[in-house]
Amino acid sequence: MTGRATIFSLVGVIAYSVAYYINLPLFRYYPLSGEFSFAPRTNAGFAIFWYGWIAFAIAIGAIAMFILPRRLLNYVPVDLSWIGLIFSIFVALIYEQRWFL
Amino acid sequence: MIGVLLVVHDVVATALLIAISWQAATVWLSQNTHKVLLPNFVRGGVSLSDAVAILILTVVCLGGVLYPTYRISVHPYLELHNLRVANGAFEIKEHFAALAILMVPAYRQAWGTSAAELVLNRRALTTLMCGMIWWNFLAGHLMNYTAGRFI
Repeated sequence: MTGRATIFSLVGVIAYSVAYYINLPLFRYYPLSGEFSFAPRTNAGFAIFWYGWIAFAIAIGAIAMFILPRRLLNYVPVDLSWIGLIFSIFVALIYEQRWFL
Repeated sequence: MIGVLLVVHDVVATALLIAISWQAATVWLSQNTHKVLLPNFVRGGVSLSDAVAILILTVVCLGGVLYPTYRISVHPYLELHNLRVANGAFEIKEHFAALAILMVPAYRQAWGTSAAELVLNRRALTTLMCGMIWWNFLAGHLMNYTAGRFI
């Protein structure tokens, strides 16, 4: 049986991969002005998305963790957590290969 | 202040690297070899996994505090001088740090019980996280070297 913590991680790492692949941050941080914003801002300098991607992944992971019923968790193999992690690592490496080509 | 944080980040990252490397090595030993070679207090058990989990959270949080400084002072220099490998290595480091912090609950759950069906899960998660942490450690030092050498 897969625990809720494992579901959080499994859904979280996949949500993180989706978040940076299609640039879906929960919020943005503008370091030059020191401001957080849910919407893009003009004249605030460049934005950092990394915090927002992690926040998005945590939010989606937490929702999945609390929403999925216990009987459904019984059908999720516990080994999916590391398989999901391998998938996310490959996605990250494929996405960032542009720097090495 | 940033210099002090960078040193603390490095020291905690080194502790994390040692702890998870030890755990990744011991998790592959058979239970019998495990008991013969390693005394209880250093065996890859619950207490070591607690320490690793806390160290991961601490290192990533410290990295998160330092990250805007990197983006403001180092990242533009890398782009301007076309240091693409260093840039790419750090981009991967960002993703690995995020994945590591998201995997902490599953990692804790895998180490929280001695159930036999979780052995593969424990081995795979610990080894993968160890690999990501090694990458992050080396990429962080590459970045320190690059920043110190060229900026």
